[in-house]
Amino acid sequence: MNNLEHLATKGHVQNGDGGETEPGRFRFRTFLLFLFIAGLCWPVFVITTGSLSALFGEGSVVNAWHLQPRRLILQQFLEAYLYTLLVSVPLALLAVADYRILVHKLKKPKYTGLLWILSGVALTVYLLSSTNQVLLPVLLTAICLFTGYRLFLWLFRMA
Amino acid sequence: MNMFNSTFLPRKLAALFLVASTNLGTAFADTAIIAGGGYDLHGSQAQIELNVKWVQQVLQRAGLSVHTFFTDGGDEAFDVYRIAGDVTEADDGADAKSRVPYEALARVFRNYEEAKTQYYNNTVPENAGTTRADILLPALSEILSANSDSDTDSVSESPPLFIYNGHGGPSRDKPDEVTLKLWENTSVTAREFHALLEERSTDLRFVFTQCYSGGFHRLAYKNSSSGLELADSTRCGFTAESAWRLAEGCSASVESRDYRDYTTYFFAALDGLTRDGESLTEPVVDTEGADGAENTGLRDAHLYTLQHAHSTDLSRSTSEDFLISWQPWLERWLPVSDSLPANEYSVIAESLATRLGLDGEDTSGRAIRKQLKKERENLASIEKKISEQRDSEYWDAWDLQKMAIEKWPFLAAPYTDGYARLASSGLLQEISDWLSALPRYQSLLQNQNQLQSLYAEQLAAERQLTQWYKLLHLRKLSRLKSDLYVKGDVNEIESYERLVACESQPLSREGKSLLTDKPADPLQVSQQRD
Repeated sequence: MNNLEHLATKGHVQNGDGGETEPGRFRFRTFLLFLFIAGLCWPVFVITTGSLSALFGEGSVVNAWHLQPRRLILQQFLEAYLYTLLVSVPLALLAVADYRILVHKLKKPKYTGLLWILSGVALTVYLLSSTNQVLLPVLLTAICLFTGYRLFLWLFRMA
Repeated sequence: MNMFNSTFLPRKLAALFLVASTNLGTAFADTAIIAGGGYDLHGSQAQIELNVKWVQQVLQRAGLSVHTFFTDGGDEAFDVYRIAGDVTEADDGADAKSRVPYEALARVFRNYEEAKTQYYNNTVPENAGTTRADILLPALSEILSANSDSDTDSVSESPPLFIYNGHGGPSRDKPDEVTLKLWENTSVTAREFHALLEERSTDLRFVFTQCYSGGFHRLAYKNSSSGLELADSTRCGFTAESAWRLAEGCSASVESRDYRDYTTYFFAALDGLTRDGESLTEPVVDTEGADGAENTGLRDAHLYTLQHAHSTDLSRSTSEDFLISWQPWLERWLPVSDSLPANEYSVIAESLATRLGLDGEDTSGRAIRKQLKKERENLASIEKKISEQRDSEYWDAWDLQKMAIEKWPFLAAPYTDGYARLASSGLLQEISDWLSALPRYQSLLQNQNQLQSLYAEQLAAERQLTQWYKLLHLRKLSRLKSDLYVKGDVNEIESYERLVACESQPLSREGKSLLTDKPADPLQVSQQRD
């Protein structure tokens, strides 16, 4: 049994009728997964776009790094954090749904995250409505988040 | 003593009297107001006075009625200082050394700069009064309202022009809390200035050259603290810097002959002559040429400054500030492509890139960033050398001081009778000669001279670094202007165009054209070149 298959059975106990219950620990871990994804979407996106800007030379924040007070950049980052909740909360809900359906119900942990990340990219590009500029950063962010998601599930088992 | 500073006159009455006296006969002419000078004697450099006098002449030649407020007004007390051998028409060119009789003593006790400093009363002609906040603000208010009353009679007038040439203070995180540092250590924030203008719905054009001056672009908006809605009155202007950076005038250059702040380039572009009276080596491009405007617009002078100023200023106009504030929040975080849309900013960026030695194929953001890194490292290495040199100079001076004080203990107590006796007996010259013969003194001299060279190197490196930042800034403006017309709504585009129209007005409606030879639109020039 690999890690994810083990995860598929972990956290569920049989009750007297043979049905499953969801103990508080399982619900808590699902909630943690929600927070993990919702909290990381924007910072991972910023790290990705920042790296791309630095690599290719230009980007407003990269350019402003030595010209504006850092606290002002932080303030803009936090403001944007709030705006992007519109995207990151649905993404986190999708991740939870993906986890519960593929891992918990269908017992197909190998495929977990794939559908989530694809639908996430589609949703993000649709909501941000400037496809040309955001596609590459969104795809790179998706890869990072997918890795993070799988890592989270793996760590879950270790917990 | 100036009667306006007298304690016998209430300050408000003094201000009103002052205004009445400066307004006579000026109601129907284009108006300019200059406020300048330092915040106290030790922050009032001769270079500022020199600039104010020059700007005053340029404005008067253009036919404007000029009201000048400088430091303490007409008070006869000292209000300006200069370093002998460094500046101004008053400098007779004599060797600075001859002005420091006990040079070795001054160097060892680290008073050499002070020994060369000369204090004097300002020589600004037609000085209408002090810039002390409680006097200046009511005076300004009266002049501006007299001007707006006269607008009903004369539609041909441009909005009044306010020019500030002095020092500024920062704000931690609110642009409208930056300050003008006025005489007697008083101050006015951008918010207070905004309130004064809003109270009377005053039109105004402005040029602020102090540190952190960018905060004063908020004068153009309805709300001084945030938002993009413009004020009902027409207001626009130019600042030497953003709200977050020091301007050239706060650098070491303010102490040198090489002083070149925003006004140095801006008014040279309007006048066609430099501050030293020489013709401009590069022509001012008339962006309004197609519309047949006769005079050079202030915006043209600003674009000239952006293109040619080799200083530490990253100057900006209100319309540029508008573009930066307008930038959609997500775009701020996205990487951008290397290609630039065709507009005045991309033309200036291209010209600057050529001047900086970037060839056509290598003007990518990556190449610029690489150069920026190199320039930053260069500046850091100079700053490190300065720090080491300062240490070395400090210990040389310290050891020499100890040696001298062991022989002449009263040297350590300059405000005593013993020291006075040393001075009156002529011993100071003897001590100075004794010090200058010591080998350690030669080391101190060398260190101090090297420090001066390093400061000059530091200023040059800061100026060069700023050119690279400016290149990135221009590329950003070029993209933002193009984006505004694609992504902005009608109101935003209208507001931007209103600001550009305000900035494009000439210095004076009635004044003669100061420039004769104007090439065409920079965009067309660039396209013809291609």
